[in-house]
Amino acid sequence: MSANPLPNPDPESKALRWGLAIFFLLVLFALIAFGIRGVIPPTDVREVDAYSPWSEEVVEAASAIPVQDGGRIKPLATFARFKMLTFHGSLTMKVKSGGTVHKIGPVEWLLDCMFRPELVDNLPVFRLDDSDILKPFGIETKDRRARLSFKDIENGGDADEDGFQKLINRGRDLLQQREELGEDSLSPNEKKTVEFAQLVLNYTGIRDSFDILRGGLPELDPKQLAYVDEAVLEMLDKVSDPSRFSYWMPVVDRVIASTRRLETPEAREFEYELNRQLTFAKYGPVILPPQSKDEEEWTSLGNGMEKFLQGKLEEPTAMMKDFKALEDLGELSKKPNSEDFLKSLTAFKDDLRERAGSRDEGEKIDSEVSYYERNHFMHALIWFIAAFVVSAIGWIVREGKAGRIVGWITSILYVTGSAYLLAGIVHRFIITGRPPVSNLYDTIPFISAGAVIVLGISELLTRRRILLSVGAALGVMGLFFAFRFELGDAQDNMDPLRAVLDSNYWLATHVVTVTIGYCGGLVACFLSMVYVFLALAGVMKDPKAFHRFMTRAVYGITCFTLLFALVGTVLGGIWANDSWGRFWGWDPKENGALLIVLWCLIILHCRLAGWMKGWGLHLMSILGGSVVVFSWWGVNMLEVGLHSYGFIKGASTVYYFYFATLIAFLVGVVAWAIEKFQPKQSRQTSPVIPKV
Amino acid sequence: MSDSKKEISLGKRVFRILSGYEIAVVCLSLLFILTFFGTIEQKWFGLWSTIHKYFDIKSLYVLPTRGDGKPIFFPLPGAYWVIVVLGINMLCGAIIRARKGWKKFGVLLSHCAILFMLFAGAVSSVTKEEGHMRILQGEKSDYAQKLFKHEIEIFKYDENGDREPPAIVRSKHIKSLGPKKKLNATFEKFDFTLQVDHFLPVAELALASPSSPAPDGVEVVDGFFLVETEKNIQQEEANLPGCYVTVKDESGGTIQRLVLWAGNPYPVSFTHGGQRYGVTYLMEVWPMPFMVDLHRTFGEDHPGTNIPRWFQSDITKIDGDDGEQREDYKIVMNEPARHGGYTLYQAGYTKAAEGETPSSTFAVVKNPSDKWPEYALYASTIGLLIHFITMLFRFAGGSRPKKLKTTEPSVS
Amino acid sequence: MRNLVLLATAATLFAGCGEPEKSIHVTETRPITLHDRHYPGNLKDRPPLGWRRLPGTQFRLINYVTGKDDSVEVVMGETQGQVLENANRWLGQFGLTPLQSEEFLGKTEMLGRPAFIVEGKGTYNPGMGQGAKEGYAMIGIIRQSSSNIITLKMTGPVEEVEAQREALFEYTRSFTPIEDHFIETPTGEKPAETSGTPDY
Repeated sequence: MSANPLPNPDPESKALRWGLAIFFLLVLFALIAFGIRGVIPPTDVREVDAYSPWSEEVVEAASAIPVQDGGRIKPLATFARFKMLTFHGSLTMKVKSGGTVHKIGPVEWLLDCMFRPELVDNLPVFRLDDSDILKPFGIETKDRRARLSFKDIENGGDADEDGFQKLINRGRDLLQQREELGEDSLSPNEKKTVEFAQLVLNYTGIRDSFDILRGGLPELDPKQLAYVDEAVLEMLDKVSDPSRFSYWMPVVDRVIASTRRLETPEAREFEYELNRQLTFAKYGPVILPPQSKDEEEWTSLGNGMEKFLQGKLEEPTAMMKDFKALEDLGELSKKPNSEDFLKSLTAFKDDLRERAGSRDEGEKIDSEVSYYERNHFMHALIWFIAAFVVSAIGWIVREGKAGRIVGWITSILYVTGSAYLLAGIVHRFIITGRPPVSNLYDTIPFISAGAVIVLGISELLTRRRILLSVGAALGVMGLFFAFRFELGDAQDNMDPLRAVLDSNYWLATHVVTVTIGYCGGLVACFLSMVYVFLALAGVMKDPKAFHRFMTRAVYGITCFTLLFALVGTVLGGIWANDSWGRFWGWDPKENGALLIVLWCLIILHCRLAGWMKGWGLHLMSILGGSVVVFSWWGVNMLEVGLHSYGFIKGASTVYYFYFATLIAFLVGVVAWAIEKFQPKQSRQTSPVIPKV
Repeated sequence: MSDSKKEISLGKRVFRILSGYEIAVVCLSLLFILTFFGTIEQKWFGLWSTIHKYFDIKSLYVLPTRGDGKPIFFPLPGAYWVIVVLGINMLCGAIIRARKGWKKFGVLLSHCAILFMLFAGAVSSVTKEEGHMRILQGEKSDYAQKLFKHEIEIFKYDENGDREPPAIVRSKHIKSLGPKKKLNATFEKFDFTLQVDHFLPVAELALASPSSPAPDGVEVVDGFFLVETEKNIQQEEANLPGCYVTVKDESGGTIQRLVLWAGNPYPVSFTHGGQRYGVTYLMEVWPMPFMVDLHRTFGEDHPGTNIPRWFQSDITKIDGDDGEQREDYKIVMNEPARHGGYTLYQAGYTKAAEGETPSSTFAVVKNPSDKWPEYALYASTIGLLIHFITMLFRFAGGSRPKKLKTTEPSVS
Repeated sequence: MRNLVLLATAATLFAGCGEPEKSIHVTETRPITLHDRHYPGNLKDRPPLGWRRLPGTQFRLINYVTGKDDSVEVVMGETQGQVLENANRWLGQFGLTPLQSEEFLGKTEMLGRPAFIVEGKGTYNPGMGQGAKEGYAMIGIIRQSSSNIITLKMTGPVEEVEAQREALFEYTRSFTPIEDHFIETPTGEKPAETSGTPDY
């Protein structure tokens, strides 16, 4: 590198400088992308005997079954999606059977749980980042970050107790210890053990919740019951098979009482299995609408059975009908891709949809299924990646026709990506019926959209292609972060809000405004990062003009940030006054927003005083990005204050961002220092770059 | 130079300093640092303590510390006073000294609005009162209690066994005592003295027994003793103070030694001069000028969850000596009831298990500057919009490249 | 001179900081509110003048001491179970033979319902780690309501307890349910959804 890094470009070192510029930029973005990407365990294509995939038609039919979960009616596909994310940390699973690799998605996996439990235990459903915690239970894995099947866990342990039992027992002991002595009494590994044990237990709950449909009750001659209760024999459902639950259903309670009195081994085994199936049936998806229009709570199979047995149903025969339909489905599922199974599944789904529709529920199910199928954000990501790559080519391509073509292609790709991003946000808005930003997840695509739109509009006004590059890069990073957050959080972010938040007015005003403020701060930060590296490399044809443009752009966006952050913060205070009776409580979330306002004010006032010009503005703007991220994410990690609904654990990605801004800041300081202290002679020949 | 000229120069000099950008930037920077540390520290010390440390009017200076007490920064002035100085700077610089004119209207308006907002905050910090009122369904209440102020009340029982209006030893006199300091309180209405000692800000009252005796050096009174406990940083209202008191007669002789704890819901008593007196340590009782009848409290959770969807209280507010002024309100989350300077917010409600009675908790606030920030917001938004839109057009006009052939950035 | 004045002012201002005692004169008061009409279990009591109230606990709703050196204790509580069960537990604390029927207990009245009197004398073993106390007596009153048992128990040296006998029964008669917390609808009728008067 020459002694004066900021003179007019020397044609002989131009390539080197371009290389340096691109290198630094890519390093920076890679740092951030690495933080966003997270850690992906090694992919393990598990060999599973006799696995046959579900047909597309079956998956399509099952996806649209209505389920009540998280306070709303949603498609089974959404329910399955977030359940799979909870266990697996990913939305696909790969298995190999008979030489063919099959991809299993959430609905397929849930169908396996419901109808093919013998297969599902072999699927690598559990993702574990630190499988060392399983060593005490005799469960071995190839790598520390692993995906395990239930069978892997069960096969651990020793002669006395299998791995599953050992894990669950240890989990229970640790839970008790936590209750008695507090959270701090557990070591980090012990906390992970408790979490994993609960996860495995939840899995068995879902897997076994449909045992009640599959028959498989131990043999018990009904005539035996007549010895203790003659009437029972007459009341059994003779249409069904004695191995099926529906056969015993009309008088289950009397059956259980009778088996207890019999006291034979067969009776005990029968009673145990009957009770087990009844209990686990409560843990499955809640798919049965209430019989009364006044009730709002749907029921799971098990809770429906309980109401049936307690005589609390208005129409017990309807319950029997539902149950038998599911039993038939269970029977037909032995040929999973048969026409009969598909017909039966579709009929069941349509019946549930009709019943939900008569209660004005589930109208958005099809829309939600299509939202996840269309995957607008993934499309947007791909288009933004393409836009960034093409725009990067544009840095190097000569001006003229080639340059214009590259420019047009970049613009088309950019606009298409933006359209997909906006489509995703609008689609979510249509499904939820509330403003586009109502929880932490929503802020990510919204801020990404804000950034690409602001930069897109700026590009229209100023015709500076660099803005499209930055916009595309921000779109890419934002969407990666959105995917990463969804995978890690594994929560359905379309679920309804708690009472204090449930105000469309305030969500549309305060939350949207503050989020736009965050967006502005991040855009200014990234623009300044780009400026710093490109200015250091000295690759601009007209550095003075570039400097002037970038400085004005960043200054303008800082003003934009101040406007929205200030208005949004005060709106938040007014909302807090209406909710909690105080305008300002120095709550961490409130303080975070105030920090952004103060940072912008410091920048503006320093400029007005003449103390801060180009370099100073950019350096402050870079650090301002950290202030924004602290306000957006950092305060939630403190887990203190009234904004408890936003608390998160981990989110270590933010530390990568702080580190990236620190690096950019230090590089900027170095560049400024070099410029400031360069010899006078070379300053005369170099373009005038305003001082800090 | 004459004396009058020197005086004018000094005044102008002071005004210039007060209205200068230097003060503004220093104050904003200090406020930034204070807000940052005042946020971080909440992780260790909780919301309430940190707010008092950093943002209270009485905090003249602050030393940021981490959880183990080690300082993490050098001492800083208290945030309240930084805001006061900033307010003076805004008044002098942004309003009085600033250039006037239509071009500056937006900035001027927004500065005035922010200043008004700060003023609203100052008014609020001095005059605002807030408390909580918990009522069971089917019952009524004419008082609220201030969760974070605990005071000692002493009262006489009348011949019917009812309490007479109490004498109040305010929280501010007690909480500045430590385990070693004492407070001697004489009363306008009583002829005895109350001496308060061994004050503990976070305590529990324990019963002494052979199996769990009092620690060495801890006084046992009537079989009870106070033990200092760990502060609950998540819930400040769970931190209950305690103290020992001695009731003394005019000659200084001891009438009765008592132990008081704010977690005890009912008073203890003593007898003096043929009269029975009660003493209690409790959250400050804030009498209301009205009665609130809670007819119904109800709500709904999102189906299949424990997450509240909405909850509502149907109340009647009764005013007037004979209760002749009655007004019905429905108080819902985010929709408080405002009347006569008081605002009632639905702070929470308790669903009842079978056989129990549901209840509502209202946050009661009296704040003359309640709506002022809202008005300030409208004004400052208009001002900022005017200013920044003007700047945006200037930026857009000046940023297009002058030569159409060259498009920036390019390196060929 | 100016410095001396400043120093003196500072000294005066800071003089109060290190003082071990401070004094105030209290004039502040407040009007009576419904808060002052809160009593344990919504029952207002009127103890005799010589009875001094102590802090309550989980098992002692109301707790008084009286007599010489505060040797007599009066405790009121609410519990579950049956009258006889509780009576025999108290008798057991004095090493006395358990009774087979409530018929053997004395009768009185409390809050408009029949109540039973349990008496004992001798060595008192309160349990809970406390040692035996010789020459003690007990007068206890147990009243059954629809949902629980109210107990009122006086223990202390025999002479002291005897001296407080009349005061105890007078105290028992002093209980009054507090109803002024409850509201009526504007029509004057009690609303169906209110908790209603407590069942005593």
